[in-house]
Amino acid sequence: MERIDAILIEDVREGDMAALATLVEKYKRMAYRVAVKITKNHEDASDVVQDAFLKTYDSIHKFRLDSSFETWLYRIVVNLSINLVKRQKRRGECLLSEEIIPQATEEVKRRIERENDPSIQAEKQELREWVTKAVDSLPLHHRTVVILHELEGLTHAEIASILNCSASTIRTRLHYARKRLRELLKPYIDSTNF
Amino acid sequence: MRLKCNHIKNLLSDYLDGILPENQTVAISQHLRHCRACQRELETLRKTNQLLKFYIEKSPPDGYFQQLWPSLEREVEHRSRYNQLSLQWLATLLMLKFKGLKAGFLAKCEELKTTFRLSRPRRGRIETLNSQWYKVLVKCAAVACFVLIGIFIDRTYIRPSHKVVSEFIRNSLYSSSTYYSEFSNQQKRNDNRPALERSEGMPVGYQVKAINLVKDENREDIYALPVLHGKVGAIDIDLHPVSFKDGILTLVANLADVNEIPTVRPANAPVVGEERTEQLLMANGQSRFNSMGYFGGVEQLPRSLDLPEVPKVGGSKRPKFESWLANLLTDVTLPTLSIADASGIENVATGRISD
Repeated sequence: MERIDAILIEDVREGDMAALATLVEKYKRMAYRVAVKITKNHEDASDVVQDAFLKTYDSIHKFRLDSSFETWLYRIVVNLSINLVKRQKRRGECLLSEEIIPQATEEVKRRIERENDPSIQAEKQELREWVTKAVDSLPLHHRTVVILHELEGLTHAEIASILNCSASTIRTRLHYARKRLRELLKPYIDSTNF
Repeated sequence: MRLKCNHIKNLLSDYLDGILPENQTVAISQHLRHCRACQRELETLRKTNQLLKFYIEKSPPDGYFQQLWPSLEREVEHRSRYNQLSLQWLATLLMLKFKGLKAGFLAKCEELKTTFRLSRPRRGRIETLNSQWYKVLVKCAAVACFVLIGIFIDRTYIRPSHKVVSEFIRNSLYSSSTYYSEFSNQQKRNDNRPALERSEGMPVGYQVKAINLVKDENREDIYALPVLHGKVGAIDIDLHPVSFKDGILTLVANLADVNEIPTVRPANAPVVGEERTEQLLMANGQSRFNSMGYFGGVEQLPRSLDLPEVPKVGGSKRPKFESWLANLLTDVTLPTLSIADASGIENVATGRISD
């Protein structure tokens, strides 16, 4: 753990609210970034961030200084986000179902055929949207692993610690998530050089 | 080769992340040098990963991050006030129970409040600890409620304990007695064999057993329970209830169905005589009994029943009082059966009476 974090945590434990404010300032963007990727909307993400920092404050006396505060905060944010998504599941997730993929693929193909379209920026924007949709369409646990590994750059061991499961489980989830993403992004993979 | 490729394709994800052991990494690298299919697979995976950089990072609305800390601070302050209220509530509770502690506890609360005012930001730890006190108190109260509810349900709806049952029986019974009587030469009506064959060397008889539990001296409230299975010596017999009169339940065992009845009358068989037999038969409303047979007599058991303990199974699996008592009486072993000498009365067989 960073030394500065250890000092701040000690101060928070002694009741220093300014130290808590510093911790919040330092990690708020990370917390929001992860929460919004898992929950997929701002309202839920802001609730998760608020709850995560309050939970951090309530449980800070339980935190062991020999572990990473960032990983601990990751764990709180990820677990709160996953719980929120699970609770909301009955409302239905916006899945990219098998039925709409062929249409989308055709659409992508047509778009790629129009290579000499002047609006390359628009194409890129559509690519971004499609990649975002593809990641968001993954099952919750696979999406979480992809977000933490590919987008947040955490290692398998860190993700296993955050999700409280084995490293082999993380590897398996990542393997299947990549397989699925490869299917969803196939038209772009085949036709794009980057 | 195909199998190997499939195996390697499954490992390519880990290979890309560089988390495989060295020997596997070397083996896959060597394989990739000459396998175009696996090369394509790896390239596809790599491109997939590279495409993820196009994932759109969703930004919060303007001013969100600026507003985050103020709203968090407000929430923390709100919790602090709540925890203070919890403290005061706890103090009030203690005051009701232990008046002496009230002053000290409120003083402590006041001291804490002063501390909060003096160094406003430094209050987190104290409140967190107090919050833990409050949680422990609530948990204790919840556990106590559950225990009380459990006791109430057990007392109200679940069977009484063995001790309660035993005491109830002992306290409520004035006396108990069991009557036995045997009849000989009673044969089935549908026995078509010749009379001599039916009677010679074939003692038949009926045992009447009446269990009489008397609740009080006036014998107005009598508990008598049927005995469905009995034992005569080593022989199991079925006992059929035939009457219930004046608090006496009469059970008949049809010994005609039993092949192993001893043929010799035991020396200690009680002899009461025909008159007593007649009286008992009439009293029980069984006038169709043949009074010419031998009557084994009436035995009185000791006044108090020596009740065995109810099995301590506890909880909802405790047996019902009625079934427990019925089982207890069912297991009563009858004394040795007195068998009448059937010679000379071979032609007086009557019909079945056990129905």
